[in-house]
Amino acid sequence: MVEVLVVASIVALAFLPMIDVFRSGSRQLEQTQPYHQAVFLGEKCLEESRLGAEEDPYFLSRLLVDGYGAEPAPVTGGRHPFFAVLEDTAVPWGRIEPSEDGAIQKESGPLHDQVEPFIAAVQSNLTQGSPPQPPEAEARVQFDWIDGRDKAMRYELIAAVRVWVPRTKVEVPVPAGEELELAKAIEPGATQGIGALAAARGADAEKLRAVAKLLVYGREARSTAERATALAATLRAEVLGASEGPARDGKALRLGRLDEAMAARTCSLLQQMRPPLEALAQALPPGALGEPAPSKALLTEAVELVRLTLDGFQKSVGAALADYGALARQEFVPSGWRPSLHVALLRLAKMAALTYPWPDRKPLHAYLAELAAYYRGRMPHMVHFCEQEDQLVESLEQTWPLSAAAADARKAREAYAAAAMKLLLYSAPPAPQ
Amino acid sequence: MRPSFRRTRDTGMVSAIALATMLLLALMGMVVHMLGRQTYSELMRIDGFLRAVAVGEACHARLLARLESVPWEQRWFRGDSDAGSDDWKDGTYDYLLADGPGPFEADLLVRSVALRSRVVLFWRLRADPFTLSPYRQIQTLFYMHADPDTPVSLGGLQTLRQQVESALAEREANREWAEEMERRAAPVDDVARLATLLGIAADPPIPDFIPPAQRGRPPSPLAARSGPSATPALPAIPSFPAPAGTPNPPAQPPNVQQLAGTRERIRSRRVALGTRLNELNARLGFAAFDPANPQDSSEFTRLAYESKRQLAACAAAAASLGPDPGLDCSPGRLDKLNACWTAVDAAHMTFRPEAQAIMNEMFVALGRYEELERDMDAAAEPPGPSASQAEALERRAADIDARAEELTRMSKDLEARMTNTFRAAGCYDLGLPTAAPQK
Repeated sequence: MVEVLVVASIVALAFLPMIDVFRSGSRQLEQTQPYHQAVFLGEKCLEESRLGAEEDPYFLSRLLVDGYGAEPAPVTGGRHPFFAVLEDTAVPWGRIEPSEDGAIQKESGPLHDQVEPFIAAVQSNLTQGSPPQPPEAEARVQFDWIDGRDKAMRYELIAAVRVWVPRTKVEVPVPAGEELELAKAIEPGATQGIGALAAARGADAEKLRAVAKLLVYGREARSTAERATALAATLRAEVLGASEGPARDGKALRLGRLDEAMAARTCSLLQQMRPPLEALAQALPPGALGEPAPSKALLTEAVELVRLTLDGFQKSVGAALADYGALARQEFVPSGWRPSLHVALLRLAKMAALTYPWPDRKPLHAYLAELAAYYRGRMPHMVHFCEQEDQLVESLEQTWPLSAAAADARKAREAYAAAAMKLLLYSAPPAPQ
Repeated sequence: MRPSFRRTRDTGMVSAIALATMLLLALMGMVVHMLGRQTYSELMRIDGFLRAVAVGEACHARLLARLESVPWEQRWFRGDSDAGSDDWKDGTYDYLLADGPGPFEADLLVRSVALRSRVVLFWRLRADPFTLSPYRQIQTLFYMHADPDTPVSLGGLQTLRQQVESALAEREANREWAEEMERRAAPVDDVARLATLLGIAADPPIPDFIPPAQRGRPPSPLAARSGPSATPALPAIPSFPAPAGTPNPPAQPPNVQQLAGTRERIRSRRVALGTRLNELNARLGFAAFDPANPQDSSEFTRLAYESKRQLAACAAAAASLGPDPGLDCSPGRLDKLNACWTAVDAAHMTFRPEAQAIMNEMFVALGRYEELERDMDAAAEPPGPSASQAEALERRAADIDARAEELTRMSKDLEARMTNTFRAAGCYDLGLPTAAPQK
């Protein structure tokens, strides 16, 4: 009897902690389960942020300025923009629209019960980096919920968000235009730089350097154009002669890229040619090019090279628009091509609008509206991109980063006529009486 | 009497059972405890992994932003490599960035650590400066998670590159096949047809084992496409405006060069017309002969004057009123002298209006040439001639040229007629001096 009582009391004493252990195990499961959910929900939000930043250059301002997703909202019921829709549940199939398709509702089954407690918020931050590091942006995803002990819990995950860095110049590598190179353009056997050559000839160094630059950059444009034209002709013939299929599509894409590369190269060269053209257009007094002056043939060559470059730029932009456009109009192109084709067409059209005047910019508005309609329900970040671009169409000169490069091409063209006349009519000063 | 306790075989069994029960409970408790801890550690592993990936991607974002802030040619690791380390939020990373095997390529290897989780990430990046994009385009050609034990060194990078090259080559080799399959599958909206297209049997037998992956290219599906298309409506691509069609655009480069050529031409034409006018004046100018300035008279005027002078000299000699002129004063010659100056005076009367008119017109044409040259020079000033201006100047130049040519032809015709008249009169057989004397 005594033994039984002693054993019973020991068992009773040992049993109580066991109950606690079992209960704590169950509590652990209750506590970790929301964390598990939060981890996966957080990863979804971060992936969405990364995708948005990749597809839409205005996504960061959408986060920072518009506070997209910053307002804490429940994950269910489509109340938070990052969880607006779950899947394509209604016609038309192939489009996922918040107003038509299903968010996480009760009808979604156990998923709704699992994520119902969560309140999501996506905060963003932009910090100025210390040079040479550019600014950095981050998206901070946080989920709040009340756990079984009525305690407020939070899970946070942070990811870096891409910052798009604009550029104001087209940067295809061009000849450096070094002093000796310029001198050799005027006098092939030169051993000193253009400054020394100008001094030896009694020339205005600025004017002589201007002529030399036109020759150097113009020759670069000509040699590139010769290579590209031959290749483009071959590709075009192959595209026209091929039947529908991946091989043809690949060649058509290469052709469009070649045209755009030529446009970019000639734009880069025109950026360099603009200052010397403007200098020559202003004045080229007799004798400014020194004695002996560059020959008539050399001056004519300079004029012809500038003409080739200006024409080449215009033709390349037009050809790229046509080739990309033809590809974009095809019923089928491989997945992933269409967004980049549409974006390429947009930037080429903007460059065209800024380099030669259009009657108005309605075609750009119409195009962006078409794109927004096409991507609605498919790629929401592209829709946002199109909407932002549409607001900036009428102020391209002030807002588009490459408007300065476009201005260089346009001003080079405007200065060409006057500079060409002066070069072609240049004469040495009359001999003293 | 002392109570007697019956000793039974059950003595001690209760303790043993209780002990066994306690041990069992303890074991179960330990299992429950371990499972609970495992749940936490699993969660920490997943959380740590995601955070480590976020740290690695933050490194990528930082380096990408730095790379995109300068032209590709000015990248700081050009011709070399860049290795470094830093921290981000609750993690740290080491990286190695180096030029890739192809042009405009770079390889980035990052090892990141967060909450005791370690990941190694690899990116192959490619820049594309040959676009008109307002952003420097550096795209990811390839991305993968590498073995966490991969060293962040050039040796580790080299090892990974072999994997990457192999994967890229395989991707490229499969590309055409994959695109063709996608092309065929795109318009199909029926699952059964899709299964047939992809070569999936309707009720495939359940295999006993999962066969190993087939390496190498699948049989080519490249053949003529058939079947209805159900692709959604594509966005309309507008025809963007062409360069022409703007009001008063600048002259096209070929027109500018042509204009410059015309400018050169009209300068020489003006000089030629002026020379022609001078010649004309020199031969048939109508100003009276001035003995004090014989060089200012025209050839024909000098003919008449000389004829008359010789006649007078001969007459004076015949009347012994003057010295011997040293001339041939034979009657035949005197007749010819008479005929000559009569013809010249008559020609002056007859041809004068026509000659005057031609020379006046030439003056006018010269004036028009000068005016046109001034206008062309003015048009050459910045911003240069517009297309319509260039056209107008060319038209004017063509008009004046046509008129100048006509006047030149008319003047030559007149000159020829006058010369023939004087030749017929014998002026040129008399040996009279016709060239203007030098001053």
